Amino acid sequence: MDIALELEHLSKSYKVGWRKTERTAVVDVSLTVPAGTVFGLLGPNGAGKTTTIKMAVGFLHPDSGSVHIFGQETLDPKVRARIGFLPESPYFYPHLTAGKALDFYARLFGIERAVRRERVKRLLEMVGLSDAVKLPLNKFSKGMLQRFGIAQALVNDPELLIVDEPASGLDPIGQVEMRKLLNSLNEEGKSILLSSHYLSEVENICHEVAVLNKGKVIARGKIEDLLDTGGAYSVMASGLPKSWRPVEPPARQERLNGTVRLTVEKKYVGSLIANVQSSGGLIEDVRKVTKTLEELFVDLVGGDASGG
Amino acid sequence: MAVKAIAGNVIREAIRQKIIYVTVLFALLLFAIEPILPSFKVGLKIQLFQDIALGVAYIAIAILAIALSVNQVPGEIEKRTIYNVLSKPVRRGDFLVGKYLGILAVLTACAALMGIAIFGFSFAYFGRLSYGVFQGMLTATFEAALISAFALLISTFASPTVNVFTCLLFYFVGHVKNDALVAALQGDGAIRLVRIVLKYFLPSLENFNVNEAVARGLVVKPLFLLELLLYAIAFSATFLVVASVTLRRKEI
Ligand SMILES: Nc1ncnc2c1ncn2[C@@H]1O[C@H](COP(=O)(O)OP(=O)(O)O)[C@@H](O)[C@H]1O
Ligand SMILES: [Mg+2]
Repeated sequence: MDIALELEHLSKSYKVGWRKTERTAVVDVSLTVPAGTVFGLLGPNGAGKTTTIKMAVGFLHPDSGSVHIFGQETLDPKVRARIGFLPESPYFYPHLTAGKALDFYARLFGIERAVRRERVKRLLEMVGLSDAVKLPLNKFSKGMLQRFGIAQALVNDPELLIVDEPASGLDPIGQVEMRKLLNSLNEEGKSILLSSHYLSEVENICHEVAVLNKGKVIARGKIEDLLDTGGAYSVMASGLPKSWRPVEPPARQERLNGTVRLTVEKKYVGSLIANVQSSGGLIEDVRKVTKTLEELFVDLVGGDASGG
Repeated sequence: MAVKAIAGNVIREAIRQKIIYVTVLFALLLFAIEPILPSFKVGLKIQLFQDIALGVAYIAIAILAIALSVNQVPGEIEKRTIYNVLSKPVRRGDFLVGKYLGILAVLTACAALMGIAIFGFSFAYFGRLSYGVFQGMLTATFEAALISAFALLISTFASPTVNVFTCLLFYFVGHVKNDALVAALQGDGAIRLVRIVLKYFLPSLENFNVNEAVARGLVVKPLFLLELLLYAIAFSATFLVVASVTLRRKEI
C-alpha cells in the first residue's frame, strides 16, 4: 500500500529564553499514514501534536528523525503541490475578502484564472461561506475562520490533508459538520492526518490513532481495539423486585428508576439473562462495554496528563 | 505566478499604510513651501530649490524603503499568516522575491510621484523643464531598492526595531564610506577585518547621490546609470540569496 506520510523517530525540544533552556516537546514519535486513511493524533494540550505536525510540514527542523511525504522531502515544491495544511487557530490577511484571499492561495499553486474562479466558488459553498465571499476576513468569527481555513487547505485538491485541531472554535453543529466534511473528503480518497484533544472528534472518523502525552506516543492502534475492555457486557433489566440479587455476582450493579444495569464477563451473560427472566424481569438491553475515549485517556495517563 | 501573487499582496497591504501617505505628503509639502523659506528671499534660485527638494525626496524614499521592508517577514510570522503561504509550493526564496518586488513597485510609484512634483514645481516657480530630476529619482530608487533588500535580509533574524537601527547604521556608514575612510583604517586584526567589510561588502551609497549634478542642470550619462543599476542589482541579489538561506533555516 502507498504511504502518504511517514514520520520516523521524530524528536524535538525548544530552546527557551536567552539561557536556551531546553523544553522537550516531542520524543521519538513515529507514525505512518497509509494512503487513503485517516490518522488521528490524540492528546491533551501541550502533548506535542502541533510540534509534530509542524515538523511534518517542514516549519520546524527535528532534532532527530525524518519526515517523508509520498516518499519525498516535505519542502519539495512538488510534494507541497499535493498537500493541504490547516494550522492550529488559523489566521489570514485580515483585509482581504474571503473570495480574494482564497483566490490568492490558489495563485500560489499556479492555478489558472478560470479554474480558480470555479474552485473558489465551489469551496466556499462547501464550507458554508458562500454569503461571505465579499466579507473581509477580519470580520469573520473564529468558527468562520476555521471553515475558511479548510477551504484554503483544499484549494489545490490535495491528496494528503494535514489539519491541526480542525474542530477548535466550532460550535457543536459546526463540529459535526467538520467531521462529516473530513469523512467525505476521505471517501473521495484523500489521506488525512488530524490532531485533536476532543476525544469524541476522532472516534468516528479515524482508521487509526496515536495517543500522545508529554511528547511520547503512549498508545496506538485502531480505536475499537484501544477502547476494548476485554469482553465485559452490560445487561439492562427492568421489573425486578428491589431485593433481587443475581445468582452469579456481577462486576457492578447499578439501579436507576427501577432499571438495573449489571456488568458481567462475557461467559456469564447467558446465565444472567436466564436468571433475570426466571425472576420475572424484562431484558431491556444487552451490549458490549467499550471504554469512552475519556476513560481510555484516564486509564493511559492516570492523573498525569500534561496540563494546559 | 506565486511571486506575482505575493508581490500583489504587498502592494495591496502597502496602500493601507499611513506612513507612505505621511512621508510622501510631507515631502510634497516641503517642495511647495520651499520658495517661501527665508533663504530663498534673496532670490529664487532653481539650483538651490532642486538640490533641497531632491535631497528631501532622496531621504523620504530611503525611509519608505526601510518602513516597508522591516515588518514583512516578522509580521507574517507573528500573525501566523506565513503558514498558509509557505505550506504551499512557495520556496522561501520565492516568498522573499515576491515581497521584494512588491516593495519595489510601491517605492517606484512613490519616487515617480515625488519626481513629478519636483518637476512640476520647478516649472511653476522657475519656468524650466528639468528632466534631470527624473534621473535623480531613478538613482534614489536604485538605492532604496538596495536598502530594502538589506532590510529584508536583517528581518529574517531580527525584530523590526533592531532592524530599523541596523538599516540607519547601514545608511549612514554607506554614505560616509569612501576611499579616504577605508584608507584611514590601517592596521591588522580586527581593524583589517572592518576595512575588508567596508571595502568589499558594504555598498557605497553615496554613489547613488547625483542630486548636485542634477540640480546644476548636468546630464547623468546613461552608462553611469546602468553602472549604478548593476551595482544595486548585485548587492540586492546577494542580500536576498543570504536572506533566503537564513529564512530556510529559521523555525516558524
Ligand atoms: N515555541 C515554543 N517554545 C517553547 N516551547 C514550546 C513552543 N511551542 C510549544 N512548546 C512546548 O512544547 C510542548 C508541546 O506543545 P504543542 O506541540 O503545541 O502541543 P499540542 O499541540 O499537543 O497542544 C508544550 O510543552 C509546549 O509548552
Ligand atoms: Mg496544538
